[in-house]
Amino acid sequence: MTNDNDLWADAVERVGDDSGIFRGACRRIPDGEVRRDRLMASPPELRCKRGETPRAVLATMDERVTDIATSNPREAPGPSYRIIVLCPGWCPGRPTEFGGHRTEMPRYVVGKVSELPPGSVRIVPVNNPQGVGVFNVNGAYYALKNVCPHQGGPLCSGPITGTTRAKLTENDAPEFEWVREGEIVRCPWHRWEFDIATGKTVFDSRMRVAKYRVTVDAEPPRQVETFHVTAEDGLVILEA
Amino acid sequence: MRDDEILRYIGPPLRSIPLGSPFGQRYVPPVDDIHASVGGGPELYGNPDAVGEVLFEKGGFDAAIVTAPNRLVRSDRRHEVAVMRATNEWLAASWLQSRHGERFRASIDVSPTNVAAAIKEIERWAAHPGFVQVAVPLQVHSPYGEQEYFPILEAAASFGLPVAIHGDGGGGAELTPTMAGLPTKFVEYHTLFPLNAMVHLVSVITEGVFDRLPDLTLVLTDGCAAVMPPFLWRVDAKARALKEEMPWVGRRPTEYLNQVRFVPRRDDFPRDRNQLETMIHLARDGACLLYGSNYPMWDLVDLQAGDWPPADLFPQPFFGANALDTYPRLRPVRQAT
Amino acid sequence: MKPETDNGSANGGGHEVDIRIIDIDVHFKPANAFALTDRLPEPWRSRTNIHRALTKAPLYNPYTGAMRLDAKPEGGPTGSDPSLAGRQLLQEAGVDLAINIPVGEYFCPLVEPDLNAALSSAVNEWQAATWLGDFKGHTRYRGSISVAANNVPAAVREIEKWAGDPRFVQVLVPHHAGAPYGSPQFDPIWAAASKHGLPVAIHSNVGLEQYMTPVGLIQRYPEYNGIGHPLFLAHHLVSLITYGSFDRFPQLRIVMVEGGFSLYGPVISRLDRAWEALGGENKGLPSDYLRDHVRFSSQPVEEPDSFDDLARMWAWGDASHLLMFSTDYPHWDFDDPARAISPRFGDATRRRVYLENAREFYGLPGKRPADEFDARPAPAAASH
Repeated sequence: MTNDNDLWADAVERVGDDSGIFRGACRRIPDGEVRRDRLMASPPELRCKRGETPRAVLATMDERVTDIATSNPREAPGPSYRIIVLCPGWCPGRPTEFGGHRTEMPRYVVGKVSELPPGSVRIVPVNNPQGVGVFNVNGAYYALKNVCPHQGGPLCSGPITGTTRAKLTENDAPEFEWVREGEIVRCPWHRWEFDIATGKTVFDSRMRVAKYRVTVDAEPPRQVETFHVTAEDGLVILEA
Repeated sequence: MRDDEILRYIGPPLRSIPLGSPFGQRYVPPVDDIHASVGGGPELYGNPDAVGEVLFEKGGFDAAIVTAPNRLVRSDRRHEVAVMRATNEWLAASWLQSRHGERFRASIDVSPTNVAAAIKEIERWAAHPGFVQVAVPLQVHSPYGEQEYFPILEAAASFGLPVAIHGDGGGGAELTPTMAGLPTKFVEYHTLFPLNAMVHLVSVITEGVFDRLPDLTLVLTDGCAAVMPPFLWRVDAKARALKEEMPWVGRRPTEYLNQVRFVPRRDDFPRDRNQLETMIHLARDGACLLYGSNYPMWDLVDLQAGDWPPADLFPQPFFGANALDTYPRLRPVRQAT
Repeated sequence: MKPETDNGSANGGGHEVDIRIIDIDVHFKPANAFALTDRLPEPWRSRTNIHRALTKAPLYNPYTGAMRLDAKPEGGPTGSDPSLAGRQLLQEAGVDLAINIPVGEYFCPLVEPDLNAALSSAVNEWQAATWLGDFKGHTRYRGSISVAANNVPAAVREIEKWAGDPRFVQVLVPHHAGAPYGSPQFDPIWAAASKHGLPVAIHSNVGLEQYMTPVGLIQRYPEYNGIGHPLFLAHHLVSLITYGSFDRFPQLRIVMVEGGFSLYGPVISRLDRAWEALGGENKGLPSDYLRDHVRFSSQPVEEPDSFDDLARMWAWGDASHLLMFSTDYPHWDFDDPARAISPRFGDATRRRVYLENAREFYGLPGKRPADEFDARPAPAAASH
């Protein structure tokens, strides 16, 4: 019998992040304070109760999701949100068997590779009202939810920059070294620094911003608006 | 104390300069300098035997740390060094060798205006087991996190000596004692002046001094325990957002409180029980607090007298264990009793 | 209480909406300094270098500047564009009414008393003509009567001039004027303000201040903002009480803006204890004066990990009576109304802080006409 933490770790890996609608859903429930890393401590309505079928739980989750969407557009989950229902351990099975309003993330074309050169970012208006920022950091692509976990600022529209590292000197006060140029995005509001690749805060904390997968396809995916592509210039695809 | 007891250790010509009142001269309380319960004149509180009788025989204290007051600003740096040396000689020769010498401990008086001389004093007296900390004045020309003072803190930490920042009305610098201009009322000065210790504390934190000296303990002897948390929360938020400006600060500012101690003064104990409990809770549930009487001053703290605050609100370590933890050199006292 | 407005009709058709969030600290400015210097009389208006004097930089700033980076309009400084401000502050943040406090670049108090007085006049004229006038002034914004703290007679004249104008809800003085505000030299300002029922806001400004602290010069912004600046306001508060300003002027009310909140409870507790021992000269305990005479702005709300710790300090400070919500838009450490104050404080306290304390204190209305900023922005999410 797997324990809660294993199930949770497993689910996180599958989803790629632990934020998004699940956190949004929890916030609307009156009691209980939700902490991202302790979702198993969240209100019992979100867990399978012993003997209750997962489908019944999922059905009420759908209702609750719809409620949220109409009551506060700023928190509204987009069509791509995924819900995970975690069993506390007595219903055997893996989360994806009974988890998910949708288990596949929709895919979006961000643009041509040539339109997103290294050092640039494009905010894609999907997934949530503030969208998702897609970054090119030295040729690698990353995507972060455009919502700062601090107070909700438009994180991805902030400066893409480096950060400092302490340089300790022999007999004098410490100095700065400038490092990691281009790897950090700073929230335009309260200047919180985030590692673009991981979504984690640069300062020591457990906070991070949701990240999503970005790939490059040589051909446009089916059922998506057709782009003219060449062999040299693929499409940047976001799953969010 | 009587001035001649210190002047004895200062040679001419500096010996001619008056030392100034230990109770302040510009900001003078409109009440007797000495608390009514002390019941005696200068010959009482300057006399180690008399004080020892009050504290140890009648008061039930096991040990007491003596810190000499700053008195005046001394702009003459040679004079400042001379007074500092003389004070330490006097402490060693009088309090630490008095009838209760085993129970008294003292602070090594140093002046930041001459760092080399300060380090010499620390090195000289660190070997003497009666000295348990280094004392520096609250009012100086730069906050204590600045590099120019680092060697003093480093020397103290290397000998396992905490550094006490003490105000007590004196000054090591000629600066306006409050932020918005010269205070004209004693109560205004008295309420606000000790808060300047917060500037020192934040400077020490943001310059990475606690990171560079993990064995350093800072003792703020003039209170601030109650105002400290909300001030530091402000610094926490800014330090987090502006991490790039101080990458050498490894922890959150409030997390350095384990290297800080406060000696609450009488005004630091709010009359409201909930507020007092909050103060204790936010000072790491009392672990940051050290019991200090400020004997024999008018704002004496005597938790055994039955007045406010009630002693039972304080966790037991406040009365002794915190001090033993902060000053390992106090331990022989416990063993001797 | 959720900080939301009713959905008025998208084009602001004639009905009224409830006011739910009042923001007592925002900072608007003109597109350039000419908007102020053109309003100066001679000889100041033509004086060489006059614009440079108005744009003194503060000593302490974050390395990356003091403004919210997404609030900069094209072709003007941050805080100069009414439609961007309306979108970000009124629409996205959901603020109903905001009080403008003109400080910072272009509004620097000047060392020369006559010039400083002339500048204050120009600042107030500019507010009246723009943000309190054409720019939705009558329904969404209120202003502060900027006065020259180093020119007391002129300050009194300025207060008398604007006192009857309901768009100005308070008098504004900088955080540093050479002496603590309890000093008798400032009495005529308190007299004029309280005669007209106008509170006086103390807010940091750049120009007259001295930065040296009692223990030396602080190096950088995080330390100064965290510790140094609140100590100024603490001193003013203590001096106003200890010098008897509230006894001489029983109608005098003070707002301490952007200097924190939680730290004043313990400071006043210290003052209370000292008071009882030293035989204070006026009636009552210092803490007795707070409800009738003092308010604080909330931004930035402290962020300790433990909600319980913050709640204890808010209780100590009497937040439900003394605290008024502010965003500090468009500065970088702006507080978003949706997130700034935890729901765990409960609806009653949040309502008082977001709305009632300011509404009562400033005599503001309970409703306002709906306008174009009431339409909810369409969600950016597009489904494919």
